[in-house]
Amino acid sequence: MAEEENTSMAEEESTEAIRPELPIGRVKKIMKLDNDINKVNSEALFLVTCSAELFLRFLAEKSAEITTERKRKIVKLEHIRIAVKKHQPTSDFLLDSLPMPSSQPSDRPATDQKHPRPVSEKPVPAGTRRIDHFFHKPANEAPILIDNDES
Amino acid sequence: MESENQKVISEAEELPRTIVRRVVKEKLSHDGDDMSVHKDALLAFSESARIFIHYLSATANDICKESKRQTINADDVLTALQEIEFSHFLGPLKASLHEFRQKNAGKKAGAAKEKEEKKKRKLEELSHDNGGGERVENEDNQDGTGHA
Repeated sequence: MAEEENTSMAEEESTEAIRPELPIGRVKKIMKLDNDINKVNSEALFLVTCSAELFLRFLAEKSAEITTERKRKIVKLEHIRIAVKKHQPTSDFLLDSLPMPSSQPSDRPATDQKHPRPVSEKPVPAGTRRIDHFFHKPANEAPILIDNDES
Repeated sequence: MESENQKVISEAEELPRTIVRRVVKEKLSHDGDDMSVHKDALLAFSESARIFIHYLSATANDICKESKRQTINADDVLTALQEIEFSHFLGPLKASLHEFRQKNAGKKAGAAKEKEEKKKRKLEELSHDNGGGERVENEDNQDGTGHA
């Protein structure tokens, strides 16, 4: 339990130093994707890494508050979205890029990694069927009821 | 095709999912002990942090360019945070920076002791850097202005 660390970090005006868990090398790579950026010294890189982690914690905390408010146990995309909307400095830069919550939460079970942003692949409207669906056992439909009703 | 391409790029430029999950989960345990994170939400957290990095460093870069310097330094980042209205991060960041500087100084000294061969070269570098002013470690020491 690293509780003593966490409790002090929870204070809003904390001056506690943090040791970032995010990998500095990866943060550097991300920064360098911006062609306008020339050089970054090691202190600046360290600070950006720390900031990113503070931001992540901040967003997680705010989103969790929304989840709690709605008496839910699972933090979902829509909760993050509400949290972002509530904090203007965050919504300024993030709201437009935040993925939209999809109406069908489980439409992309395994292909998640291939689609970081669910924009391109629209789920087929309910009711439409592909021909090959007839040859598969429909998992998301009610099974055909056969006579012996046990319930 | 397109999505495959996207995957290759995004894995290198994304933040590691396991670490993001850990950081996020740490925060959740305060509010409710059995809260979990939806997969899409976790992805969104990771994306958000990545976008924040771009946003912050672009702002810092502008500040750096305004003062006609080549290398983004710690002050640029701190000023940028104020500009984008995240000054509540400044407290922990300044403390972290202080620790970082101390640790770096210590690390350098320790390494110098261990490795006899590199000792002299390192010490030379060290004293050279320290003579340059604020910056303890600066691989890209282009502008020797010692700007503080």
